[in-house]
Amino acid sequence: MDAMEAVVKLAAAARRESPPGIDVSGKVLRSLQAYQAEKGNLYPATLARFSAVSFAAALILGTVALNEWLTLHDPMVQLFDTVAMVMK
Amino acid sequence: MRTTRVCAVTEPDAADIAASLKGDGDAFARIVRRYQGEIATTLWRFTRERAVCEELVHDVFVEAYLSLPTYRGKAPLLHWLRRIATRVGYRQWKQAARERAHRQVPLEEDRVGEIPDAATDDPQAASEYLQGVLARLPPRDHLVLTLLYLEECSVEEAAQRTGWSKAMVKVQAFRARKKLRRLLETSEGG
Repeated sequence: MDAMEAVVKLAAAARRESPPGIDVSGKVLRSLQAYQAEKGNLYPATLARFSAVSFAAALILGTVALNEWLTLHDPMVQLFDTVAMVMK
Repeated sequence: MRTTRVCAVTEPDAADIAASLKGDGDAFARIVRRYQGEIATTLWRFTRERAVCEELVHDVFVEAYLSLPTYRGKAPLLHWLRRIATRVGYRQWKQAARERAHRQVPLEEDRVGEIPDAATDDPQAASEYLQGVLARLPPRDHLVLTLLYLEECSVEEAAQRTGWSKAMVKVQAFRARKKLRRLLETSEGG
């Protein structure tokens, strides 16, 4: 018999085999509960770190933006600019 | 133009998936109980050790739960689970192959015995022999031949299960058959 013909016959026989009965539902739920408990403990720490970094970045950006805004709307700045030009 | 959308998910699956996504553990346990037998059958082709098989089935359902938000319902839930099972089983083979390479198993140990006479009638003997022979091939060849012969997948199904293209499955199957033939003929020759 050709080797590949034998493989086809063996595969047909092998497909009739039943695997052993397995019940993993309890184990799966326990793993997921453990995962969620771990995730629950980790999540606030990560969130707190991320929030702190975001707040610091927003504070710096806000300070710079406010400074620029006040400079733009200060009429004295333009006056001093004109004076500086005349002086030159 | 009106289009009709065919939903591949059965009603009990859809209800249990929706409930699982809201955190209902019992709903997910129902999914596990509904499909663990079929997934165990698939993974029994990847290992013949009961404890390992049980561990792999467990990993499939944990992975499925974590990826559940990405399940779009375009294919039946069982097909999606089988794709995860194939990935999990293949990962196990690759890990075993790496360990074998690390241990440097000598060629003598890697020899295939002759096909036992009773193997074609006895499902267990056939399975043991065939899986033993296929395990001597590299994981990619092992995978494609397992899907085509033991899981009886078409090229298209094998492509879906592996994530490879159909052309890739055909090329891989051609190379794997060549290696398998050489392996079996060598063993016949002594």
